[in-house]
Amino acid sequence: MAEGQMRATGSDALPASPAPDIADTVRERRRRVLLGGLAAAGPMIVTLAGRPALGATGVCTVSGYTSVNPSQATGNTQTCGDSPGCWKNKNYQNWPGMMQGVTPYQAYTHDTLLSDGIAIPALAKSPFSNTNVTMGNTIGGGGTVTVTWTFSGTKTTTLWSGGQISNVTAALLNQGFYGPSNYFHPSSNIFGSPDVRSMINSYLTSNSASNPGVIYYTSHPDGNTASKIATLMTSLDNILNAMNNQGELCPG
Amino acid sequence: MTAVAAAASRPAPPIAAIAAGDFFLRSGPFTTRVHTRIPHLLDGIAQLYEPSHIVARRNFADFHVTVAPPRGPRRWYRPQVLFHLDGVVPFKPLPLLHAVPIFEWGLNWCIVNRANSYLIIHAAAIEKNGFVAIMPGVPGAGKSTLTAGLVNRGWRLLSDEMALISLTDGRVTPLVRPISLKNESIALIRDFVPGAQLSAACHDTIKGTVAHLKPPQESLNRVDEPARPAWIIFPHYVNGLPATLATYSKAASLIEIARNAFNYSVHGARGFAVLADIVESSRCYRFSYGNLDEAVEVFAALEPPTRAGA
Amino acid sequence: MTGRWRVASPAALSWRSWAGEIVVYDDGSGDTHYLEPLAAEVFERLLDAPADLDELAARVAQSLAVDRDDELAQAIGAVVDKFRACGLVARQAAGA
Repeated sequence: MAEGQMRATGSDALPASPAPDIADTVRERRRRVLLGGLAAAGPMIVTLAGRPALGATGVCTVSGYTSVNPSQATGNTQTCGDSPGCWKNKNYQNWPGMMQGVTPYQAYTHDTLLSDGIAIPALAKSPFSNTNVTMGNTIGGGGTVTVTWTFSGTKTTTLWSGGQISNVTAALLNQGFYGPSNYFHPSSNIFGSPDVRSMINSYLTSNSASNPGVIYYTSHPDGNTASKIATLMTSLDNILNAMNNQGELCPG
Repeated sequence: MTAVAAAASRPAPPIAAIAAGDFFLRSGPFTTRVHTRIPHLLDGIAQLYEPSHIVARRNFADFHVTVAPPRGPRRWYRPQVLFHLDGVVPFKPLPLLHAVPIFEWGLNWCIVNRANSYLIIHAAAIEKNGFVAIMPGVPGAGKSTLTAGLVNRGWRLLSDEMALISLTDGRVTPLVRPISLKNESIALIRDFVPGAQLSAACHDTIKGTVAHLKPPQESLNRVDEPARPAWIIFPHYVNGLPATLATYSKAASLIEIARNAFNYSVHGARGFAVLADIVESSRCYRFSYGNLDEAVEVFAALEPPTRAGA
Repeated sequence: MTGRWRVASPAALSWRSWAGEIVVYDDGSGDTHYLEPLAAEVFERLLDAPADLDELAARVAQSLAVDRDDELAQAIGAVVDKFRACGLVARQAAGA
């Protein structure tokens, strides 16, 4: 192992990189460079960003985690965790657990189905369906992560395509990942329970014409769409209460 | 000391201390003063913690914790419970039935936020023959299940959630708290550990169903014995996967263990040096497993690093 | 990417090297970087002395005994760009 540290002044300045095993280093690098392919999409550099200690101030702050845009904080909402863009853009090497090839989430299961088949995966276990998750398992192995909400089994949308639904997802990913049971952070969300509710309601009742590429729940195969949506929202409220996760979301 | 004073300074028997709803709980190097009158929480603490670590009086506490129902309607209607630390409420309320998990998670919160005299890794730490395996664990990687199994097959538990690393000598300080298990792991460990002391399962938490396992008695007895890291092992549970131990590059291990450190940023260059030294003198692996018995065998065969370097 | 490059704040850095890879801690930013072998090599060659990309490619090719070709040059350029983005390297002032 070689180590190095530059010191600005002082007679105890260390030399750069004492190299008792320089031949090994050269050999290993040469081998990796020749074999690895210089055009590889791999990251070459993985950065662990310096940041204040988790919850150092005891409250959720913008600087608590990452590059959340301060303008997303509204009123007295405590901004906590990662913004939707941050989750979307999390380079795979910064995705939690990348190096272990795991995510912090269990495989998606349907054990919290609402009456008409809307599953709120993050509230149940995980927003990920295994078939939709691909990740590089090693540094240098590429990979992307996609996350899918499933409505009624047939209408699906990727999480990053619709503004509102992506906010909901970020909120739930944050509370699932940063929340008390994992990283012990108390208020780990940008959005509160009322926001989740209104976002999902808005999502369900909007028309798809204004947002190409995003599928909205505009008509139920059995008809009576408005009533169905109302039932779904009641079920969502029950889930938010019954799962007792309402306390996990930031105040609205 | 007079006889009266001696009698006053003798710690009250643990059951009496708990029944009063105001007691001091020792976990590793930390002392928590606990106020609560919630019966199933008192029962849970009595079941999961070492009796000699629960006393009525102590001169000092690191944390003052109260676990109690909130004021107002949620005291009675769909009752909730709140965790208070030094008069502050860091968490939103949880259902009253989940008092044990909120207490455990709350205590984790206390330690993670205050214990900056240590470098704290989100990892399990277990010891055998004076050597510690640190197992950094992204939630879902299966480290708690693995830890619960291994400490009931010859390994000593130092911690299942937080490895406390000394900044002076890089040794791991025991914390020895109940091991949190979820969902399928609960039944799995109940089968794997005859006579396992498990708290009542709590359903419908954010993690699903949760229960806590009391640490083995020997681990509790040896809470004052730190030990030196010898292995850094990143576990990954996948049902059905054969146990595979693969060497992991030290450079990759260093950045990944730093990523799993709660307060790495606080300690700056010192934290980097401490972790780098640990990586230098440890064997580093990724470990995939799908079966606890196989995992136990692999861990039993682990060789500590030689003096000359791992 | 023209001009000479130098390690930005060497006094703020500490690093360890194993099997051709390097992990470097930058006390200025608080960031920790893992460098894959080529990036590690570029880092060390810049520690030797500032260089422009041509010079850097020559040093790396010689050090590792590999061909100095377009692919190598491009990869080195990408590494230096990433180093710049995370503050590890900076342009050397003209005349320095």
